[in-house]
Amino acid sequence: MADEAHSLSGALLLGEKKVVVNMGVEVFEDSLRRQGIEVVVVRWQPPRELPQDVARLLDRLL
Amino acid sequence: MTDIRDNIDRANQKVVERLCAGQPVWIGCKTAVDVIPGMTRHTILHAGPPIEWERMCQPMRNGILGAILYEGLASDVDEANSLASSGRLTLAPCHQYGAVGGMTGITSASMPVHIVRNEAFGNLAYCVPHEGASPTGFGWGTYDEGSIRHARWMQEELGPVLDAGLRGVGGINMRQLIGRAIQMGDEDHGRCGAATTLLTRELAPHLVRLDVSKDVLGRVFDFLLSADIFALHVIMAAARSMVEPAKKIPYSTVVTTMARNGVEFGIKISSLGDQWFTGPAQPIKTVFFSPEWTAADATPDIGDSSIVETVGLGGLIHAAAPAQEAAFGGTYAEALRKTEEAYAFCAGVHEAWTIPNLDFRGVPLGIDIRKVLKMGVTPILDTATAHKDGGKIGIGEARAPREAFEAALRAFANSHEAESIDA
Repeated sequence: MADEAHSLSGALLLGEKKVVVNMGVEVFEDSLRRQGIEVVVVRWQPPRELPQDVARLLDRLL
Repeated sequence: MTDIRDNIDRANQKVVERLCAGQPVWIGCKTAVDVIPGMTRHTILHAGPPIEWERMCQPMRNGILGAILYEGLASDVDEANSLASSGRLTLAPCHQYGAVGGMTGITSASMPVHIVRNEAFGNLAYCVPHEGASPTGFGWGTYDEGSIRHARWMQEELGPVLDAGLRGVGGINMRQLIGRAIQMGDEDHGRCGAATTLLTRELAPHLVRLDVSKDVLGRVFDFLLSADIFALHVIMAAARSMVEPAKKIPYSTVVTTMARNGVEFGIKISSLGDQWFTGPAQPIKTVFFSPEWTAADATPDIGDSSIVETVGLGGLIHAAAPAQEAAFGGTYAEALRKTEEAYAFCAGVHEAWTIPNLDFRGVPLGIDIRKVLKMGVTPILDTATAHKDGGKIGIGEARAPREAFEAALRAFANSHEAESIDA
């Protein structure tokens, strides 16, 4: 089974069309595209830390 | 019992409706002291929230010194310095007088000001004309002989000719003109080429029929055609006229003013009227005109021009002006992402100002401080960059500081304490 799994992942990496999901840092996206790789971009950044009182007010007001 | 959130949402929609209903019309260009209520010979207006002479950045001080010399209130720079710091002049924000001003925003008694009337509500707003292609002038924070000479030319020739031309046209509807300019690729802050072309086209047939010499007309046309950005200050006055009727709507958390003085960035929100909430003026991501300049030479974000972002233009709609994004070294994808951000923190859209390449979606309108803070993304402001000692040295973009939005939210909460929103 382990050999089969290994050969399957090898085929996926080398033989088939690859789609990369790029989350967050955008610099990777450009270089992958330049190599002809399809990239799905997920814009993500860590939630900004708000002052506690502001976070509490937003919970009540928004 | 009604949830306060429902009240806020309804109030914010009302603000968006009022902004959207604005019908700004450029009706004149007259001498400031004759038309701005409360203006005197000893009043000098500046950009941004209130600031004392001692705390002002150097370009703003330079602009004030220039205005003092231009008005003949002092005979030399030393005397002008003494007068500026004496407390004998009224130094106040343009916004306090129904006006706005680009960069330092310096506006004094004898300067011509564009007059825009919001026909839907009847209120007026004012802005000194853009100083044109030169990197010097009071707006850029210089007070050399050339800056003073140019201010006199604007007073003696440009203002009267524009005013007479506007009488001939019968006023130019800026709501329509801005809408058309967006269709033509302007975001109407850093990029105003279409708007300036449209304004010049409206004015030209009336200017050539005026009883003025060919030399004067030639100088006015040379000036109008030398600076794509000329229309910006008319658009700023239009935006200023649009925000006034949107103020003082109870419960609204929508921004009705954004302005910077080079030291602080200030906002107002509708429900709290004319109270300022401030944070530090931010550094500008600048494309410098010469490699001799770096970020260390630049004044932080300055000017009232961010009134155009307040009504959904400029930094909020880079997707409408890919060429503007490219000028900063960006891509269309980045322009689109920035505009998507703006849609996410705005309460609505402007029905008459639409973006062709977004399937004619209305521009984002009504910046909601709650959403700005929740997203952790503040509005982008397109801008020019002034040297720390004065003079224009580049163009760029800056972000508003979140501290101003936090201060506004706290004040909003305090004003509704009785409703136990902090329970």
